[in-house]
Amino acid sequence: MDRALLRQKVLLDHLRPAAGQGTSITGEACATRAGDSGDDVVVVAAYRTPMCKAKRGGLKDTLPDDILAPVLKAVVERTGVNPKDIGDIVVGSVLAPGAQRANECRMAAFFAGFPETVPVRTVNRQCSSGLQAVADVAAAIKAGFYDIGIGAGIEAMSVNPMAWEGSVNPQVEQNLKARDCLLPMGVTSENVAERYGITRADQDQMAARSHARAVAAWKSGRFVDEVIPVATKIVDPKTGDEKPVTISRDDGMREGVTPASLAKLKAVFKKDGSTTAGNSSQITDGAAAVLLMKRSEAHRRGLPILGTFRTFAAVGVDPAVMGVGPAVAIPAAVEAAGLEIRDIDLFELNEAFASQATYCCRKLHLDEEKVNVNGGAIALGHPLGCTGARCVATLLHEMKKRGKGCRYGVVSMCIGSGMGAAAVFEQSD
Amino acid sequence: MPIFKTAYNGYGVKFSPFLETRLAVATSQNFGIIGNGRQYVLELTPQGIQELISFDTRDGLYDCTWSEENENILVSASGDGSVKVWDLAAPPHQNPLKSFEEHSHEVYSLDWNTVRRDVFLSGSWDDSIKLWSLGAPGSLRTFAEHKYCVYTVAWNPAHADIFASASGDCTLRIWDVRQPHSTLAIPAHEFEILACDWNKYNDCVLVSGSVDKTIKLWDVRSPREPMTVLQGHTYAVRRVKFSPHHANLIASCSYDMSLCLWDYQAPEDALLMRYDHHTEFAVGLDLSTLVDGLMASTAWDETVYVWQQGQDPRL
Amino acid sequence: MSGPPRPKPWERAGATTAEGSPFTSSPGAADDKLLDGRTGTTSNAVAGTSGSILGTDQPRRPWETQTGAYGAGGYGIRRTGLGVGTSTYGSYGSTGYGAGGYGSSYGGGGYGMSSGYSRYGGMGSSYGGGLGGYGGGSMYGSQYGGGMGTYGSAGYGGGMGMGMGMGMGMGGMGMGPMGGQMGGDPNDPNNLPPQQPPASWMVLLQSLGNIVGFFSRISFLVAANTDALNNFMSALLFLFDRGGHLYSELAHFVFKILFGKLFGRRGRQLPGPRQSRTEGPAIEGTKSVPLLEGAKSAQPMQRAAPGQRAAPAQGAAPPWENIWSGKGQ
Repeated sequence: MDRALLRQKVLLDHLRPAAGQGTSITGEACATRAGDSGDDVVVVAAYRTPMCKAKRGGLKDTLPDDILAPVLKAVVERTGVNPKDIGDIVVGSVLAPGAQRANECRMAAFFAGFPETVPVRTVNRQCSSGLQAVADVAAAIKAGFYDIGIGAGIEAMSVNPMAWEGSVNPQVEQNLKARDCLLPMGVTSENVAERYGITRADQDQMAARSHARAVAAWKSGRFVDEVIPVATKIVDPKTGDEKPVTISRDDGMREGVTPASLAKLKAVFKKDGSTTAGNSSQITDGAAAVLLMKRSEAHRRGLPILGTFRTFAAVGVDPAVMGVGPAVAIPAAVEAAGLEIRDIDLFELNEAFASQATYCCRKLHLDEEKVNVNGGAIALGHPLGCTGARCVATLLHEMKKRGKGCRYGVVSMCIGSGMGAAAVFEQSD
Repeated sequence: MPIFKTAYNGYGVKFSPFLETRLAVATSQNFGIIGNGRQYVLELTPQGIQELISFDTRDGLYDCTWSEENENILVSASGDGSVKVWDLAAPPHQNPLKSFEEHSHEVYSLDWNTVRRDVFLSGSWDDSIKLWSLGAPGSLRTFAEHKYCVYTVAWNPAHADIFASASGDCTLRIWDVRQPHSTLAIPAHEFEILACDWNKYNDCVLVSGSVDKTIKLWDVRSPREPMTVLQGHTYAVRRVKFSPHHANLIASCSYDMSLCLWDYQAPEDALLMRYDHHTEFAVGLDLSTLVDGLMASTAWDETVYVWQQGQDPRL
Repeated sequence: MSGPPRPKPWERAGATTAEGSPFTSSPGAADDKLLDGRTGTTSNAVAGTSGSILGTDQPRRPWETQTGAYGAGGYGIRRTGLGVGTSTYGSYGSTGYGAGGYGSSYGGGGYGMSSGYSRYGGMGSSYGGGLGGYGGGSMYGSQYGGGMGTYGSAGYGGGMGMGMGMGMGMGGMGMGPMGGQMGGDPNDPNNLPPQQPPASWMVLLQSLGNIVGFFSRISFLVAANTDALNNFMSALLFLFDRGGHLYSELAHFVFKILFGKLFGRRGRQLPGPRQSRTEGPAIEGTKSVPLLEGAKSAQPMQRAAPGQRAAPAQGAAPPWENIWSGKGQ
């Protein structure tokens, strides 16, 4: 009998539909394989150098332009694109003095074999500079300024420390937000941990996981496709001897890190705090580059497509808890792509601090198995300007390895002084 | 053209892909709400439409489809969730040949793959779509992503693995059998979508008919916006079918008791023809693949009409 | 029983795959049997936590040995102009610049740079304060574990000084956001100048302090026990008598160590390619550019300091001026 009632109800609904039910699917509707057009901006190649600890790691004696040049070279050499076809090279860089770094990047382009006709510029949105560089190139391609561009990132923290030049504006006394911009990042991490209840144990767990995943990724050769070895020299600190070496592995990750071993570390930024060196990202040298072009151009050249750039969003948040940036930026970028967060299959969420990364994962209900599957900045390092581009490379290569099941990926990071950025990529297999 | 009177309310009609003069009609007692069902197989003879054979079922039948590889195999969708397979050549006691009982709710739609010819789909009110082959004892795949009843499933005429489904959750979903999930979900209407079909001559175009009385044409390459919206029905659109012979021609039937023919490429005069021969909800519609212009329709008024496109069905 | 399948009208009409169609047909689809119930595969994620190896004893890292002194501060922040030391560094209070200067110079260190050089210049100005501050050399010694070496104190001192300043709040002090983020790690190698030439002056001062401390203890004992003093003096005289030569050799050796290093380091601090690089494209107007990397974090409180630092630097390296002036810059 209830069957009959159900059938009646269904039929009646056809005649007297409940007003505007609409669909709950905002839809992968438009972001689909079928929606690929020749005008999409696609990533054709993405490579990175190994991420090495600043001042002590493999790239400590390498000049910034020598870190950047190999990846610039690799993106054109390995794809066979003629360097003179590149319309622009945009390099994210944060700590170095602007004019000097811009010049170094230009020089790096020359070292990499680019002709003088290829322009170079830098961009600085703090931690997201590498991603911003990629987004800027994508936007310029869409705007028609050129067809092929390279978005890159470089940071040589062995050479450029974090520093503040000159005096601080006395107005910060009156303006809380401006004052909060001056907070050390570690203090913002403690603020996030306190405000949102992220415990020391949570943070250590994420840190241990990051290390374990990075170690496992290297063991299984997961990074081999994206890492460009850098031939450089190492100067022995004690003797001053120079030795030529080729750095081809990240050296930040550590095997055997467990929450128990991390628990021994002391909090650094606040008495009885929870942020330690073990659950913060490392200070690192590294560079990465991403080659972007229009899909029609890629087809014309017969180049395989690593992924499609879909959307980018940069948002602002409270500087005192800058770590929450991704929790706001990811929904913005995902929505702009016409998707929902549950549609995203893979995330590269920069682990500036385990506190903020854990908070963002919880806030957005992200599946742990989809976030930083090959380790994150806690294990690999966070070379500020490079990170965005490095995450793009890692994300796209991992998505490619996962194949058809992995369609959408997101790169996101928090930004000091209270911002967040995120970009959505699609794998077009 | 002749009329056939069924004993029960008609729900679905399908021309045979092998014989120009044969068609199957699925009917249910008491408008399909409760009661038995009957599957008719009708023959078009110079003397009118005659019943070749009929099969009775315990619960109402909502749709039927012919096999593409065997002219005697017919499949019916039943309200008790079963999919019944009939063999016309077998003796009555052996019929139904098979009864697939996996759906937990009414099976509302069936479609046989015209490219691969050995598999067919069933769409059900239990929100799932199942892929079947006669050789297998159970379903081969279940596609369960819809949030509400699946009203129609339709294979892509050009690609063996692609099909579309229309559901009460207001979305159209395109599926690829080779993929674990649907490849495209179009929030096509604001209300339930009752029908969908593919353009036989353009594998990227499909049409959807909805409770909101509109018919929308979609191109899967740009699914954000419909290509065209056809308005003209005054009640929910129950079935839409692309003509097998003309790329632009669409036939639709609706709860407003009328059938319409549309040319979706014509911007102003999309509505070509309106047939008002039914006196109850027009729910069954088919266009013959073998005879250009031959159409059949059935409705809750217990009638089956077969006519040539340009002519008046009542004559 | 069944006739051959009749071709559909659209199949007869030819290919129907539209241009740009996203759909692909598997080859031989018409003959394929879908009996394997294909389901999609999801590649296995790279294994999650595998590191269940109980942490073996790791080499002591700076962050493991550091104390709460880093406290509220931005660790590793090259804070400039912090000036006011904390209670621990009361003796530093006099010259904030001194405190910052030491730290910053090390922080910016880099390798074998002439940061030592500039630091040297800077040191000169704050010598008094620094000396006073280092009076209690032992206070560093106790706080830092291994790895202190001869230079560790200076670097840590600087870092800590700045850290403490940070903890004191934002009173318009030079709180620098690290140009990006990443609050430093205590791990921050910036605070650990491995290749830095140890500050010879500081070493000297410290050792002087130690010696003075040592003897002050002795004299205390002496005052308390004259007999002991008598015996002690006799013993000393005896020692000096017999061990005069040994003593002279030892003194010689110690002298050589102390001042030999000083000379050696000075030699290396002079401008190398790195310095010229950083100072190369001198942009007019930016006083920071000519500064060496380490000097960049010179704190603002005393603008003279960068100038002071710049002087030796600039004076010592004119060649790159010519490079760019040659290009019309």
